[in-house]
Amino acid sequence: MENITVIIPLHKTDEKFNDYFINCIKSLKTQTSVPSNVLIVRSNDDKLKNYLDNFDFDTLNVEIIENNGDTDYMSQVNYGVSNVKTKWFSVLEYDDEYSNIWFNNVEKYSSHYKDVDIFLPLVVDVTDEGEFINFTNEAVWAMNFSDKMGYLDNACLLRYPNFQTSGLVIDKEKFEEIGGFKSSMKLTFVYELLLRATYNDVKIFTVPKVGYKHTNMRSGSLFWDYRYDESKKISSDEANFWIESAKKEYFFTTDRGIKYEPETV
Amino acid sequence: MADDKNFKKIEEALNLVKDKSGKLYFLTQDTKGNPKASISYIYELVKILRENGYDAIILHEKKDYKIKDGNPEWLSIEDWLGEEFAELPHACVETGDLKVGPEDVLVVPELFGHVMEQTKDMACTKIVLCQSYDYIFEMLQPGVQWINYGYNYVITTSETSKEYINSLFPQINVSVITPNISQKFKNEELPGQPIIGIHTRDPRDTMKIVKTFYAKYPQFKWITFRDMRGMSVEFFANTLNEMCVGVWVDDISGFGTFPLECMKTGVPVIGKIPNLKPVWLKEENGFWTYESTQIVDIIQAYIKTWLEDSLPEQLLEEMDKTIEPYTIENTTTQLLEFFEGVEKEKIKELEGALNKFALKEEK
Repeated sequence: MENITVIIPLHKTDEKFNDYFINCIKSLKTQTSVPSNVLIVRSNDDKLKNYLDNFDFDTLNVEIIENNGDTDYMSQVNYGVSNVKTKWFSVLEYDDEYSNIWFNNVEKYSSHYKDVDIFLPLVVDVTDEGEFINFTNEAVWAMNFSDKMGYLDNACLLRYPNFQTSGLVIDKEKFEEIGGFKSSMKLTFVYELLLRATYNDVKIFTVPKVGYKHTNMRSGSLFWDYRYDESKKISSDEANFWIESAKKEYFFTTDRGIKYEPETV
Repeated sequence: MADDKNFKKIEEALNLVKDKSGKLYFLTQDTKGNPKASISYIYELVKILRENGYDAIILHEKKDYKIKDGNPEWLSIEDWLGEEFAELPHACVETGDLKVGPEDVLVVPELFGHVMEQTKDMACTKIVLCQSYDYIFEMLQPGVQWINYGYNYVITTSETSKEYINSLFPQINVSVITPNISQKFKNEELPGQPIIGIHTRDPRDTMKIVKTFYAKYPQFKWITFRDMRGMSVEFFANTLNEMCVGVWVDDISGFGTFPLECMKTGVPVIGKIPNLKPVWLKEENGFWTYESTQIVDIIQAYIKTWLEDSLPEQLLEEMDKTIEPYTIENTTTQLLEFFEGVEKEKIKELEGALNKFALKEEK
């Protein structure tokens, strides 16, 4: 697929990194329509730098950039986007994989659905062992779910937040216009972005084809940490706070630096 | 004196047949606004005949038959078949429009056994149009055959149906005129949507399939089913273009228009094999089963494959091959050949009658 950059944000390596990363890159190489550009945004972690310097990307057109600022997921993606030179970009997490038909389908559906700014893949959520858990982003195709079948709108998103941006293909200009990811939105940065996008009339459409395999709750992942890592664990009060904050913050295009402050007696 | 009159009548009829000036009445069921492939077929035949110089007419029983501007609660012929068909000449039995002579032809669907009985003394050529073998005996008295009412010809839609009719009534002359799939059905090659078009003869079967599917495969609750009944041909064709698969259950189908319309649109079909297996149905051109309980499992397997773009290329090729014969050209050729044959027989019959008069006079 021409005129598209796949951003892969990388923060650090861990013991399973190599296995995941090999499959992640393989899913790019085996596309029936290989994306024109790949942009790896890495932190300044030396181990990571060495690993990437020695990795064989074969025929993929890969550029690696270093982000010396905040290296949380949202900041990495935003930084990557600021370096994108193509009309479209996509985000691939290193522990995930595209299905080999994804970019071919983006081409096919975008030539028909010309008003769409964001194409979401039908995501297959799997366990660490690769077992099927459920689909995500599929609900827009259910009868009477949204105003227009296949499209995500603000009202249905407020009722049903279970959508994810992994693997999405988005118009770079639109992403920047609405302000990108907000790094202060801890747990609900994806939800807030989608609410903000739909609020700003960005057209979001789920391509009804399997596009992305997402490893759910991989140990060591951001959301795993939020649930199980004692130092980063999020309480149910905090989780509610982030959900409610997303519903309030989507009216603003700038990150207003939201912070959770636990109630003290 | 009476002989003279009869002689002239027959002579007149003979000339009218030779000039193709006899009327061809096609009796049509009033489905009260429910679009049906069997009615569409009759209209198509009348249209083709008129385009080829025959005075073919749609005949309906009651005055309240809605051709145009019908009751908003149901679709008129214009609404569901289109203006070109609504503009064909119509005649009504109730208002006395049906007046036939030996030069005319009356075509009656198999369902109208009672009409065959009422018209048994009419001097015209009488033809049964049999599209649904299951209705053959619906209105026929026990022990009675079509031929007993002077119906010597049968038009049917497939070789399987012909064989079946011949097994029941070996003396009758059965001809096959295959329906054509309307040009309105086109493969637009639109990116598919996860919507299943479902067409079952009994509406209960539709609900049974939908509910069983959702209960058995809750991970696919977001897949939508659309009941394909009650749509105008144009809307039906457009809607079909958005489907990812068509599901077809019709045990007593005589031909199977819906699956062929799906195939012409490029939409694969999952179907239950009817009691009379259609001639076009092959292992390679769809997903077929004899067991209705397996339908939901096949849908699930199909959806999985469709979501991954893994449908075999061969399936689409076979679908294209299957629909190849169902063209307007083929229907036209078969239809004209049939009526030319009927005409020849009628001419022979009328000339025979005239000869008898001549011989009588010589004596």
